[in-house]
Amino acid sequence: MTCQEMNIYLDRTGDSLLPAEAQEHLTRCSRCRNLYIRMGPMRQLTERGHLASSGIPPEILDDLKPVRPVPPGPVLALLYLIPVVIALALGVWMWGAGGWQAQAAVTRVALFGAICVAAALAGYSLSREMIPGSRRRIAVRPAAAVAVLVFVGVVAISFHRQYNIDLASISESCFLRGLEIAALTFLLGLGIARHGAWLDRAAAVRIIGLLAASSALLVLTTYCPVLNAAHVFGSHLAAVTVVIAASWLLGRVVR
Amino acid sequence: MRRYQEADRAAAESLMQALMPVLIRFFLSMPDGRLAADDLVQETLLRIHRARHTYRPGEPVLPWVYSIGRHVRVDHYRKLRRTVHHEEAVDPDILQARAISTQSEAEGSPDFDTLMNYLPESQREVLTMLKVLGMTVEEVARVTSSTTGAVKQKAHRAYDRLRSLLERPPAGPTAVGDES
Repeated sequence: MTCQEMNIYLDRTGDSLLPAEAQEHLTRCSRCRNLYIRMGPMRQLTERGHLASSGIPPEILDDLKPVRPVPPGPVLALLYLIPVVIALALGVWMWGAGGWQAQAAVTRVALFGAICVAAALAGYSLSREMIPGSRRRIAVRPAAAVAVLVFVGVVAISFHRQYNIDLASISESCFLRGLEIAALTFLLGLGIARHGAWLDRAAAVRIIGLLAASSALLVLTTYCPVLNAAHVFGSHLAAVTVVIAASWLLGRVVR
Repeated sequence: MRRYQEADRAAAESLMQALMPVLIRFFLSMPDGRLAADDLVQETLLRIHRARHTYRPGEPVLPWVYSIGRHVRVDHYRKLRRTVHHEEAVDPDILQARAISTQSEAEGSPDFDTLMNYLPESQREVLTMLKVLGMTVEEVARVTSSTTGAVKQKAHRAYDRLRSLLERPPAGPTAVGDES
């Protein structure tokens, strides 16, 4: 057994007996033995101080009204995706679905799959953020990074069409529409999430910003028929970057 | 908890009475929470009240309570940092060597509380919950809004750092363990 393997046994709580191989390791390794012995009386740390609490804050008993518990996590995550669905419906109604029609089936699956995964992760994160002490089974950051890489990779590989049109003005239009959609999703997201715990306001605002960014990218990819990587990176992803940066800054302000 | 959500006054009182020692213990276990433990408990009880609808019946209560308490402590820590920013900055390595040296002379080796202060905040928090409050890895993950894998990683890094701190003499190179 190595010191690294011994770490697994050090994670254990309570006074459970160590297995024979761990005990044998402790007899041979002074580093682990020293650490193990020191960690034994750590529970006594809290017994050093005596503190008489001031009692129950009067505001609690004065303001006792019945409340309805929030829905289960998966239901809450789906609720938080409602702004994205509304934004998509609005985007298709106003600007059509030219992008969806112009893309090949495989590209469509990869791009929309990546965006939907990103949006679902944002909804999941928000549902976890709004319920204190909730279990997190998914490592969101690595999964989101994979989704972003898939999107960027597919665009870089398959969006090579050249157009005899003014791409700069189209890019500007897409960029502004992306910001509009993101702003709408952000406001709707704030409205839906207002009943959550809001313990870490900065984190909540940033996650709603990620939801808004996913929504903007979803709408832009659905309606924009320009299959040119420079255009997508320069306008669609630029809008996404601005939204994420703005929500990050807003998070710092509200903290 | 369910009766408290239904605005039962007796249930609210008994729940708060039961939570107060739990929260006092929680804040006393954190170095930056000891001095203001009573204020932090009061603030946590208020936040528990405001967020009582976010508790879902059937879920464990303590991770929910500790999670709220953790945010109160973090907010307190941030506020404290803003108010003491003018204090003199001291090289942590010098402080560490001084503390270890002083402790070694006095007692033969530093106490664990002293060593914990030289761990990064996130590792210290995880180790305190695991070893002082006796929480499981799963409970710590719930309270710190992370995955069990991330909690284990932080704890294992803390163990490695503590091993080094415990074996390091006041001056000179780090000794090598018997086995690793």
